[in-house]
Amino acid sequence: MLKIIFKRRLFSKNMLFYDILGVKKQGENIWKEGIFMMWKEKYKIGVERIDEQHKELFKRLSNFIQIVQDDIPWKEKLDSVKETMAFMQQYVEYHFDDEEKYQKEINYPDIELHKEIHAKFKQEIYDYVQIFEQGEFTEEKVQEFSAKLMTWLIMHVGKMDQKIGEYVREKGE
Amino acid sequence: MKAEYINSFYIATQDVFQLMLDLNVARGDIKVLEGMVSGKDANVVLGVTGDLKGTILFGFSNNMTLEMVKIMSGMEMKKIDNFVSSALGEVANIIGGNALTNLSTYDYACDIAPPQVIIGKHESISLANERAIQIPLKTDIGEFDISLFLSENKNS
Repeated sequence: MLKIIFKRRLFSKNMLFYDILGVKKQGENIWKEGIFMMWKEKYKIGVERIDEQHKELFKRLSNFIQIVQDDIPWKEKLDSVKETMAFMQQYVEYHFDDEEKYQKEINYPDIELHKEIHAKFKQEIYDYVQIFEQGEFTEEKVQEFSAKLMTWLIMHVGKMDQKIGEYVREKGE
Repeated sequence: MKAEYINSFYIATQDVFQLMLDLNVARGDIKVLEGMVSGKDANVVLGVTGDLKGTILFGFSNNMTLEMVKIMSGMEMKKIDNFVSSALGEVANIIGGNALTNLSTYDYACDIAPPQVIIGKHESISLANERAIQIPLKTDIGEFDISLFLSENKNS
């Protein structure tokens, strides 16, 4: 049985966000700060606001995958899977919106293309959510979903988002 | 089999491996394939349509597959489960997508189908009656190969 312990943190005046303090498995805290190596320094784009959000996104995704891959029966971790998935998805939405807002603030020339790519990915997430809601919330399908999220995020942050940093440096913002 | 196809896929592989896995990819001597291709532990098939038609086949060993997903996720993977095979399929898919962009610079407009991941060395993949070449590739975490079964689709 996995138990997720949340700490409330106010993120902005309109939305309430929660930090995961820990994930307890039979009394033992299996989630520790710093054990998630999914984040790599090379993913930094050099814009603090965006880098901090990317780190948070990778952290939540890591946490989700950790639970999906944990070697306990699917039924026992179903609730934790759903909670961490929602926790991660909520942040994807927040981050995409804020990143687009930032791109507008700096007059980023490729904003429209970037928004299209974000929208396409949100649609892909939504398509999976539909599949899950229609009853196919199986371990295999969730594994497939989490793998796609991971590879997509790595590619997007590593390639597309880097261009934002390059533009900022060129402009001397 | 033109150099443009080979280069498009090789450069795409190098770019994606560098970006996603921090790995350099070196290529060995190109081999000509005839008839059957023996499957590796983990194989990904991409169907190609458009100005070129055919199939791209990636073949990886068990260890290299687990290591690749470990690099991306930061987590130790014990076996090729659905998470690992899906991640592998997506990497191949991204390589395919990048290769298509490279091919478009040679005026080839193509599409690729969603990746099919085939796990199991005992599977022999038959893509007979098509001219094929295999690019052997080397990285610090192991060797893999890409087989290209492509022909020009003049009617597209």
